Amino acid sequence: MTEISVQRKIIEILRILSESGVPVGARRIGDLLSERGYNIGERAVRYHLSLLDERGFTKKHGYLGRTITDLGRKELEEALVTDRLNFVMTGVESMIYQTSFDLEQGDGDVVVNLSVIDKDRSDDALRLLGEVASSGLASPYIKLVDEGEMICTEVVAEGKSVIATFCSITVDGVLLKAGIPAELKFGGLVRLKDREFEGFVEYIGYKGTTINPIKIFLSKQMTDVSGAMKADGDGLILANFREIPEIAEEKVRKVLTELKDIGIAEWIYEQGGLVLYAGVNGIAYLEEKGIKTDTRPNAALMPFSEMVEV
Amino acid sequence: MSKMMRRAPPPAISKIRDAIYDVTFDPKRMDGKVIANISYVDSNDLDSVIDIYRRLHRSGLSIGPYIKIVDENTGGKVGILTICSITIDGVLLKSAVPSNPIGGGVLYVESVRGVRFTDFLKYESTTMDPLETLAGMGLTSIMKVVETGSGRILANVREVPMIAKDDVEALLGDMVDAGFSGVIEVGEPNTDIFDIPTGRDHFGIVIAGGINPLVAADEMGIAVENHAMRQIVEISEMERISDV
Repeated sequence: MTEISVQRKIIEILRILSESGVPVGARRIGDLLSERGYNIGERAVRYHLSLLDERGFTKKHGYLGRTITDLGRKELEEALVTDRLNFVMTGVESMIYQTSFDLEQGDGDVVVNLSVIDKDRSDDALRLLGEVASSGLASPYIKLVDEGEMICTEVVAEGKSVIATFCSITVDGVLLKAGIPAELKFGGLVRLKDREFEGFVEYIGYKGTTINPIKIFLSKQMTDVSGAMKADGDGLILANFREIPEIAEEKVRKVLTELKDIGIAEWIYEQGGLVLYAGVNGIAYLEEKGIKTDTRPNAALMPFSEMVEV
Repeated sequence: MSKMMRRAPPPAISKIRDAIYDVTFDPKRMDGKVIANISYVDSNDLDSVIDIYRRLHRSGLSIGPYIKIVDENTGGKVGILTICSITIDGVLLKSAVPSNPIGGGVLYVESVRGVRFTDFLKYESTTMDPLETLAGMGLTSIMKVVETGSGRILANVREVPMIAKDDVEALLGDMVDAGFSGVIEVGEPNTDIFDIPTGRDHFGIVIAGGINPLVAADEMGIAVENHAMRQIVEISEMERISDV
C-alpha cells in the first residue's frame, strides 16, 4: 500500500487533470500543486506521473502533457475516503466563493445544478418544471441544452438533454459578497404542512459524507414535491440549512427581499440560521413523475443572463 | 446544532447511543436483548432471501446465524429481523469497554479482506442510518464477494481506547464462540482503518453491517425495504438460520 503522503499527491494530480479537460504538462502540474500547498519539484512531479502512467490512471500525449483516464477517474472517486468527506464541502465552498451575481445589475455568475435527461422527455420536463416554478417552490430560471451543444465546459451526449436549474447556494454567495458569513451545515428533507415549513424530517451534514446530501435524498426518491404543490400543501421537499450570526439578521432579510425577483420566493428564518428550499425541487418533481435524471447538485457556475424563465 | 435548530431531529449517533444502552446480550450465557434491523420482502421471496442469507453466512459476511421472521400474513409482506452490528458495541459497553461509533460506508474487499472504504457517512452528521442510506444506491456488489472474494459490502466503524485492546479481543472471541461473525478488522492504535482515521490513542474496529444479506438480495433483483436499528429483541426469540 502506498504511503498516505505520496497517495495524497497522486490524488491531487488526478484532481488537477480531471478539472482540466485538456492535456496538462508536468511543469504546469507542479505550479498547480504548489498553489494547493504541495511544494514538490518538477522532477518529483515527473516521478509521480510515471507511477500514475504505470497504474493506468493517466495517459501521456507526447509534449502536450497528460490527461486522466477512466480508470484514473474511478480511482479519484474511490480513494482517500476521509479526504473526500471534506471534498463535498470544499466543492460547495468554492462555488459559493465564485458566485458573482450582482443584485443591482441583476447579472453575474450563479450556481446551477445540472441534470441529464433523455432528449425525448425534454418537452415534458419543461412543462413540469413550469408547474413547480408557478407553485413558488423553485426558482423559474433554467437553461436547457440539447445533444451536441456545450453547457458549462461539457458537451451534451447524444440522445440526451441537460437542464441547468438555479441553485439556492447562490444565495450564500450573495450573502458572502454582502459581508455576511453563512456557513452551510446540512441538506435534507423538510415537511410542509398547509404550505408552511414544519421542520426538517431528515438531514445529512455537508461535512460528514462522501456523497452530496441532496443527491442522496434525490436518488433515494424520498421527496413528495407533488404533495407540497397541492392546494393543501402537505409534502416533503429538499432544503438546505446554513448558520448565520444572529447580529446579521436584518441585513440578511434585506438581501433576501431583493432576491425575490430572481425567484428565491420562499425562505425561513430559523433561530441560528436560514432555511432555503433547494433549486433541485423541480428535478425531484420530474423524478416523481417518472422522468429519470442524472443530477449533480451545485455542479457549476453559469452567467445568470444565459438562464430563461421556464 | 440542536440548540440552534429547534425544528430538526437529532443525528443518528443519538439514536445509536440509546440503542447501545438497551443491549443486555451476554454471549457466554446466550441470553439478553440485541438490536435488530427489520427488512420487508414479499413472502414469495422469503425462501430465496433465506438461501442468500445462508450463502453470506458461510462467507462470514453476516453478523451471525440468527434471524426472526415476523408478520407472516400482512399484505403479502414478511418482516425479517437481522441482528444489527451495533449490538457488539452494546456488549462492549456492558463489559465497561467504551466504544465510539464513527460511521458506516461501502467497504471494498479483495480476497475476502478489507481494503478501503469507497463511500462513508458519519453518524454525527446524519439523521439517517448510513448503511440504510447507502443500501439500494447501486454502490454494493455483495454477491460478487460471495462468488469471487472481491467486491463491495456495507460495514461500520467504531473506535475504542487502546488500553482496552486485550478486553476487546477477549469479548470478540466470546462473540465468535456464540456463533457471531462479521468482524472484518481490528485495527492498530493511532492508525487509520481502511482510510478512516481514529482518535489519538484509539484503535478502530470494522464490522460488516447486519443488513448485508438483505442488500445482497436487493442486488439479485428481490424487492427489499431495509430499516436499520428498528427493534430491541430477545436473542431467544430468534432462530438459527439452519433451522428456519
